[in-house]
Amino acid sequence: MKKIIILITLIVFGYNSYSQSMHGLSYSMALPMGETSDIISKYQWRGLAIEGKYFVGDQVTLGWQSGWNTMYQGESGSFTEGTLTRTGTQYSWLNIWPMLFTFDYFFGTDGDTQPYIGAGVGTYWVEQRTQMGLFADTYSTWNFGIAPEVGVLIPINLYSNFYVNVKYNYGLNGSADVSNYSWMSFNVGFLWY
Amino acid sequence: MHIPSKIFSSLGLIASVIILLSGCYPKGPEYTSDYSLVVSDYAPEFDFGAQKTYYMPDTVYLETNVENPDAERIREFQELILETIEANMSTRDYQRIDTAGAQKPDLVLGVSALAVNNSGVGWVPSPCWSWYCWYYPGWYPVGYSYSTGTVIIQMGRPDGVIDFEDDEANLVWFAGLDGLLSSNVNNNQAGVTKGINQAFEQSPYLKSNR
Repeated sequence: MKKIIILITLIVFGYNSYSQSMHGLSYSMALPMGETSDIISKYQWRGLAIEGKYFVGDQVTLGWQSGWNTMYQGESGSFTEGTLTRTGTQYSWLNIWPMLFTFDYFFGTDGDTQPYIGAGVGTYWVEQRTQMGLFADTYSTWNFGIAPEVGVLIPINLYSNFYVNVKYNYGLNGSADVSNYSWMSFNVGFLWY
Repeated sequence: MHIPSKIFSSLGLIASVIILLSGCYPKGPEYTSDYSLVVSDYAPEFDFGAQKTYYMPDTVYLETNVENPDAERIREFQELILETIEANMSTRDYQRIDTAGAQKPDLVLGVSALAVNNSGVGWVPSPCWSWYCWYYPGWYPVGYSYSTGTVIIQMGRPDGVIDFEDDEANLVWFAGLDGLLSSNVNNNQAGVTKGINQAFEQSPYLKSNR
């Protein structure tokens, strides 16, 4: 077990000791969009994003991004489908774990405030749960994911940066039971060399 | 093997945030009333306005796994359920008749109730997050006990057998109330009354024009 933990640690964070890489941790908020907003419409405040960026040129990084976003909403009222009407409080949860490879391009020069654009491609694992009364349905799906983003990196000192970014996330699945997922994520955090 | 201290600090920071997020994970319904559910369905081709009279038995069919149920309390619940249904039907201009007369009712109402006590032992995750928890089981057992109550109202035509499982049955309207039972009898009675009223409120097509 100890060897596995050390191995994962080295894979994920092993490049930390090189200045050509950055790792980030950010607080992630989300605004459901498209069909996802039919399930949960409110702005969401629970989320975490972690990522690594490795310079392959002066302005360009390749990397990865993961994290955890939880969307939740309780909505009371009557819900009618055809001739069937249900009244009560409907609770909906979406738990989303992205696993993306990323590409970013940084404008400006190192040490200055640097805007950047980028994109991620990979997969989102999404667990959707709906509960009304004593009854609940849960679906879990793998989604092919793409995530274009824009952000800005603001240096704090030689080793760390404050950064914010906005990312549009789209998860495509072939399931007939659940819709595709899309949301905007707003991330605020720190990147350090 | 030397591992840079910043790796540990990074992991520690991420673990802290994950634990913090886990602590504020939304758990959904909290109170007994949050579990209340009222469902209704109807046959769209049926003309509810053309009906006037209905027959409803004086008893509610009860199914329960509660040992030695309180007969007096059950009788009170039965009366409450039937009275509330009759009041709502009266508001919609339907007239209740009995079978002693020669008149054949336009509609038949059947009412059943289900009270189930659930108890047992479940496994829940250990709340322990410290490193020494690795030496203890991640799950531990807890006992649970809760009761659920269901009331089902079925409306059908009197010229056949009401069979909910049969697509060809004469069922024209159905309402179901479901939820957790409270230890407070008054709360349960209020919940049943509210649920039956809601079943009629969400069924505006139940209205006699005769």
